[in-house]
Amino acid sequence: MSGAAPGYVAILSAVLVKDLRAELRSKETLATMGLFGLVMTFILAFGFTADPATNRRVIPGALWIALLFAGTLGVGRTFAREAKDDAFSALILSPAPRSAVLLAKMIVNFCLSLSVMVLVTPLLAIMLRVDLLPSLGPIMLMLALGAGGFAVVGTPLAVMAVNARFAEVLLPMVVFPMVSPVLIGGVKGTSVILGTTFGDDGVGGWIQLMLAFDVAFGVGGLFLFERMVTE
Amino acid sequence: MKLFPVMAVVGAAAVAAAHYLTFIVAPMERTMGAAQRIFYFHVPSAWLCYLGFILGFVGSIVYLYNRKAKADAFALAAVEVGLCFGLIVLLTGPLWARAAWGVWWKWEPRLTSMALLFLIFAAYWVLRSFGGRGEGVRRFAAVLAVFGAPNILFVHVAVKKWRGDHPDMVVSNGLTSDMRLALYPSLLALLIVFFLLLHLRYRAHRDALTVQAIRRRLARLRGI
Amino acid sequence: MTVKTMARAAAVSLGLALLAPALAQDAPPEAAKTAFEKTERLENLRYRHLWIAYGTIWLVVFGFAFRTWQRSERTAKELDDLKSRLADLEGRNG
Repeated sequence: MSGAAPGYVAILSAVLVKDLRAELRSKETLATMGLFGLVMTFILAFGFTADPATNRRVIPGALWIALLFAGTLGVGRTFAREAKDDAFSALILSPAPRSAVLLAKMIVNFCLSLSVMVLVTPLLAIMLRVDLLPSLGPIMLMLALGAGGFAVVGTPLAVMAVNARFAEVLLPMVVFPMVSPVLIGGVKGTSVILGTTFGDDGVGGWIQLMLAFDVAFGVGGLFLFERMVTE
Repeated sequence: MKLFPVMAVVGAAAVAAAHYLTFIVAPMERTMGAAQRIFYFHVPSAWLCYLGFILGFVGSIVYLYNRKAKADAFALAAVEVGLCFGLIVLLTGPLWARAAWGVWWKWEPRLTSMALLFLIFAAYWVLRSFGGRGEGVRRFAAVLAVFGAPNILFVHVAVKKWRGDHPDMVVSNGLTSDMRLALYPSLLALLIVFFLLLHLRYRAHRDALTVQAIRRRLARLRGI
Repeated sequence: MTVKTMARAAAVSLGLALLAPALAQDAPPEAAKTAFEKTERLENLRYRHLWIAYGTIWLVVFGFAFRTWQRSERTAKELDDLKSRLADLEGRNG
């Protein structure tokens, strides 16, 4: 490559735009994740439907289980597009800062799992007959923080997992306990929002915790990524 | 060197002495009775479990930076020993819970965070055992340990916020000097066992790697 | 001292270690203030239970250590063998 190397932001946006455009064109990941979310909504509704008061108490759990599974599916497909034609090696070997590539992938994963939740959340609300509308904003904020935590931890681990046997089984097993703080924060925070649990400091403490998690692991992952991948 | 038999004797003798102090010398706690004596075994084990995971974290960081197989062997050994002590904690914890609270398991912060932490590093161990032996898997595992150890903090804060009910304070504040007399020797005995296991596992992993390397060289030489 | 004596000494020490919880006396029942406490707390755990738990744990831990050591010794022997073969081959080639 000749001339000045493109800047960090340019590379970040190039990878990001490439992935999002490819996704919007083929819709393969989004379609499979969306269908998966739909199926899961039905299963969760079958499993949990009870009287309205109980539904209101279980819906946070249902939402976060949906996010967890949809997120796992998406994270596992992170480098599926690059796996063909060995494009992943090309991406890593290019002089582009690797952390920019990782950051772009994190953002893609975040967008994918959040868009699945945009579909699943209203469906679950309708099926479990819980009125989420008054508190939709805070709930989506919690889900976004959760999707962020999942993307931030899951993406680098997904990159590493391409080397392992049983990667598709190992990855969820590895990621689930890792994101448990976000999961606990999300479920409890959502039930605080819905008024089924009472915390000492409301939902703020949970948001702080999740934000701290996202930032810490996001920055740590980006910082370490240069050391994680070689060749 | 035949270090193992010596260390095993020292370790077993230390354990015997610690148990003597725990069960005979330490005074009977009034309300908890026999169950309180689990404390002398349970708490130092939890410390050593954390120590194992932290050493695994350090070894993994070093490995990611210098890619020396020895650092990786050390990290793996440390995590294994940490898991061993974690298992002790998770076995003695419910015994205590049954005696103190009447249930085997309670969503108590320390118990829960220990269990989650155990799961993270159990994943590390499963990955190392069944994920293959390549360099990529070792890197994957190292990243896992590097992400996993700082997670102790988040898991602990989250679980504590979730359920704020911890009996540990009551226990450690109520320690008499006789109880301390039993706690620290227990810690020392377990520390000896910890380093015995760490040394053994490290040596096993390191030698296995060397054997692999020599085998490869032999095969190459024969190929000439 | 031979390895065998050492192993025997370790086993005896472990036996002694397990003797302590076996010898310890259970708490007198009057330690519990009410009948409720007596049944809910003290009745549930006896030294016998602790003895079984500790015994299992130490057996597993030292068994694990012993197995690792055994395997490690075997690997060390294999290593020596391989090294001499390597030196042999390299001497012949180089």
